[in-house]
Amino acid sequence: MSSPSPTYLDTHLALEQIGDTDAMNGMLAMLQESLTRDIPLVAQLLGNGQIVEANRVLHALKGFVPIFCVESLCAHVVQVEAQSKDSQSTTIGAAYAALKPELEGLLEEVNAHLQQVDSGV
Amino acid sequence: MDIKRARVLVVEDEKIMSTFIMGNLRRLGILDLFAVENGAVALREVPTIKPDLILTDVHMQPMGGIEFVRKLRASAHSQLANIPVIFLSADSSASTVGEALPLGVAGYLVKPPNLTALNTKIELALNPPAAPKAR
Repeated sequence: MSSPSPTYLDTHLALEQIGDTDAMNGMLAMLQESLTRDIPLVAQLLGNGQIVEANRVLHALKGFVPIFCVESLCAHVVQVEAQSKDSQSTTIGAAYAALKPELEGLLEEVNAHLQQVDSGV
Repeated sequence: MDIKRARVLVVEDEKIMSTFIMGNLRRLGILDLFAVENGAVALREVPTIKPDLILTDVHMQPMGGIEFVRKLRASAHSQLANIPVIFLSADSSASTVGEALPLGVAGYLVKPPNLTALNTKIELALNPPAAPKAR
């Protein structure tokens, strides 16, 4: 049975921008590491009212998601990152709560892609 | 100058972005590459590396790209003070671009830069059009 098409990860776009499959897979492993660390980190920082620190993480994310992701997710990251520059913690907390499941979905798709690579599929 | 012969320094604190930029520079045939993680390290390393071109992020800790380039431009060594710089940032706000442009930069690219834009900016930075002669 084939796996469903990814919703957030766009490997054709990533390959076009990065240039070769090995380099792309290497960068997807970095993305996996970053998302695993940063998705809960942003929630934690926002929970502590550390909005400037949360913005710093979201800003980095905004820079590299367009390498790997569909436009709708990139646009959502841009929107939440902009809100984190000057919002109250409750507003940005709600905005990030809406983005977080999408980032988690992206991480699941990256995990699935890398598992396929590891198994030689 | 042939861009393939250029020595380029990349100043970027985000590992994914640094890898992406370095990979794209290699795709353009630029192989003499150095990377450091923030403006403070770059400022320390530039006199040793002597790059022909610097590509720098804006927002970094403890020293960002704007402060780094400001200090570079104030260097007593004119060869270092005049190294062409291209900013690369996810921040395209008017205030940040407005801070960067007066520093005599050769370009400002929004991340992630595409290969064509990167190539064009690097060509222009290394081979600027001659200024018109004063009459």
